[in-house]
Amino acid sequence: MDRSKNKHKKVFLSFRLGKETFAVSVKKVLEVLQKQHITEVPDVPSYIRGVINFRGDILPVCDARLKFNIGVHNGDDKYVIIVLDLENNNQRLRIGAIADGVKDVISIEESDIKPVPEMGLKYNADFLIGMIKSGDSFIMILNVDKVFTSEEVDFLKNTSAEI
Amino acid sequence: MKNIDFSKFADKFIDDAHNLLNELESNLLELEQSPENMELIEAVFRAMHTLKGIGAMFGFNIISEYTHHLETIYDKIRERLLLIDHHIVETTFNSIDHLRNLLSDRNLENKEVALRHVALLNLLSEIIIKEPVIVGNETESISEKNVKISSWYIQFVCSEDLVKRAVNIEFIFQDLSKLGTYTIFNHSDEYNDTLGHLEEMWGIILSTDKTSQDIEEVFMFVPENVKIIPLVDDIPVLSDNRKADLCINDLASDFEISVPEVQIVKTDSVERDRVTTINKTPRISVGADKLDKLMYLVSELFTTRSELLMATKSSDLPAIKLAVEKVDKLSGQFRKNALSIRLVPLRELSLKFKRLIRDLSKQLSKDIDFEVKGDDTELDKNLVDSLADPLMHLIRNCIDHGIETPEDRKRLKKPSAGVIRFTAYQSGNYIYIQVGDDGRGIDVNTIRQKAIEKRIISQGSNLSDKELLDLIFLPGFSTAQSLTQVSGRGVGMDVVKRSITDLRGSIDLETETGVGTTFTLKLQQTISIMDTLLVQTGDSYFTIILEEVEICGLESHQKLCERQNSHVEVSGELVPYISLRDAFAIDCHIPETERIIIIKRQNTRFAIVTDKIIGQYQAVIKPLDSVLKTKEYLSGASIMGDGNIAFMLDTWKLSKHSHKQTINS
Repeated sequence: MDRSKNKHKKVFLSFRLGKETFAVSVKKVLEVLQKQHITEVPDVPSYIRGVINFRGDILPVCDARLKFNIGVHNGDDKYVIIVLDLENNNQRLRIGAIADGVKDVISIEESDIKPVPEMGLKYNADFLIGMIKSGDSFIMILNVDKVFTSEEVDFLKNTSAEI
Repeated sequence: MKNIDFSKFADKFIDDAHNLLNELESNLLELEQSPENMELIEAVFRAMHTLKGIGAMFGFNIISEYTHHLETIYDKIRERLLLIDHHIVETTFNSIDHLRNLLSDRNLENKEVALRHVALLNLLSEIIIKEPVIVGNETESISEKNVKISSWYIQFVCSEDLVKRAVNIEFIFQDLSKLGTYTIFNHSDEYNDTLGHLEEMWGIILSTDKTSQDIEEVFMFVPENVKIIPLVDDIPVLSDNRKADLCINDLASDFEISVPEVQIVKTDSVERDRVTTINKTPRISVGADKLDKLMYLVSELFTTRSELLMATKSSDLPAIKLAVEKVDKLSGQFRKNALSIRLVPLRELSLKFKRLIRDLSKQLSKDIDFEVKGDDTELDKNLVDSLADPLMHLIRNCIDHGIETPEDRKRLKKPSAGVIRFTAYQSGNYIYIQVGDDGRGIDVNTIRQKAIEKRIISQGSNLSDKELLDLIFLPGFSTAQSLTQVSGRGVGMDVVKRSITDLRGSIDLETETGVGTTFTLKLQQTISIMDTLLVQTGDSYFTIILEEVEICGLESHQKLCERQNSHVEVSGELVPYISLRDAFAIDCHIPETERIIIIKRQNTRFAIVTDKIIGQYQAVIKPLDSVLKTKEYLSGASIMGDGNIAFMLDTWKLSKHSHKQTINS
């Protein structure tokens, strides 16, 4: 995110994950898919739920709940797959992230994005770009390039790796 | 702006230049064998000339200038003022290498390259100032007699676009003057009325004994700015401006209408010319990304085809059945055709090797004949590219270790020149490439000793000759007694083997002491679509390369469990098995009878146990994403007609993997 272009409006897709609301830049989102059959891959970390056929390519799907430690997803629950186009070490990476549901497309002034407080946050600040106040609650803007490409680092601070 | 355009064209130039240099190199290799061949000299000269021209156009001035000197030499040879000799050929070879370096370092920033540049330029000028040899000029007079002069009207528009592309117009006219005499008229005023945006427009009348093709070549970089129209054949040279003006005015009156027709005729005749002279279908070069896109679409079509077949299986409508059948057939042909576009002949490689062998034989002072057979065999472009290095390594080994010195060969009553054979052929779905020599062969006893020294095998171990030979593919194994500059640095055969297996191929060697060694590579022609066996365990689908499957069978689950050590009996032999259910911890209902698939790879066997064998399946292999890459025993995946995804098993790594697991548990 370029903070120098102050007057630009930025567009985000917000989605639900448990009780929290997160947002990603729409530039990173390729498509939002409905619940569909996910082919399991034997012998992979549990946060990878499997693979799906996305436009003729094999797309790995990871469970954002597990990644963020928001309880295990029940198989019968409704969910969507947000297909993200990420960049990691100059390599493009496509990954599907399971979320409970998409909420909204929000357009906000760059200046309305609040910096992440150093203290009192249960998430690793490295993975957040900032926060937006929405009514009483906050929407956390994810730095998806970092969140979904780091396998080893936990999203939560001070928790041992459960994955 | 100018810079962006420029760099785009520079890439194209570098591409073209590499092709030209390759062509030059292969012609030069032939010329070295038959230095009197005028056609080859012409070909060499032409390639240099073109390189010089386009080099200057795209601002590669150092290359252009350098090539100019080379061209001068070959011009002299062409004119028989200079005799081609060993020194000239050697210098030319070095020049080709140097020019290749210059392509990536066009401004001589690398100090080594710059030094070399100066040294080579000195060599060239030494050759140029040599006393001319008079060889007689009867050829010239003959050619003059047969001259058939024809005249051409060339309309040349110099637009802003040309300036932006940094096209050097001066060179065009220089080249033109080599074709014959020409007169230029400026028509800008006349044409600016009708087509206001034109910058400059020239009419050129050229009289020449060359063909339209030659003229087109001059304008090869600005084809859209040029219209070439033949005037009457066999007319005397138009030296008189007034006459020419008349001609042009005649033409100008119905110019706009007549041009399109003329153009069609022109391209047709050029096309025909090309076919008859080179006797080859015209080629076009396409960006690799476009081919990738095509392959992607083909595989999508293939997936959809299976979907369609499945959906209409139970349909009773004959019309639909018929249409589906047609789609099925057509998509099969389409796939075959698309795959064949990616295929390129191995000749590209054999030419490279020719040069390598020439240089190495000089360096090691060994006389070597290079025998090439079947280098028109075709292989996927990517495969050919990745094969260059491993094959190069094998050839290097053959020359260095295999072929004896001329003295030794004489003593052994062998012909003094050693032979390196490069053979390629297709058999079934596979391409075989052999690299062999007629040298001393590999001594299994030396390998045994070496292996014991390096503690790879123990003193008393009893290995067959074949097993011993396979040891040379292990990392860090080199039998060279002394390190030479060429090979024997310990990295080698293991790297070769790995790169071949990475391409889903295999490598084998045969050797006989005193007779020679032959390496045989076996490869798939293309690796994106393969014949596989589709199996199911629980809800998971797996594909196994059909070629690896030896035989399938049944066994009751209970019997399987009663056996010790995870072995099954196959025609009297005990074979270890891997159950996919256990290996991948698939939680499912256990069937009463298990299906057993015997995998044979090289000379070892093992069995895969699964719930169900679905049948033969043509799989479109997609790479697995990097997130899943760690699962190396899954080498890819394909999307099946019903949308399910089947994983391709790398049987070899699977057997290793489960072996590790049993040790760990």
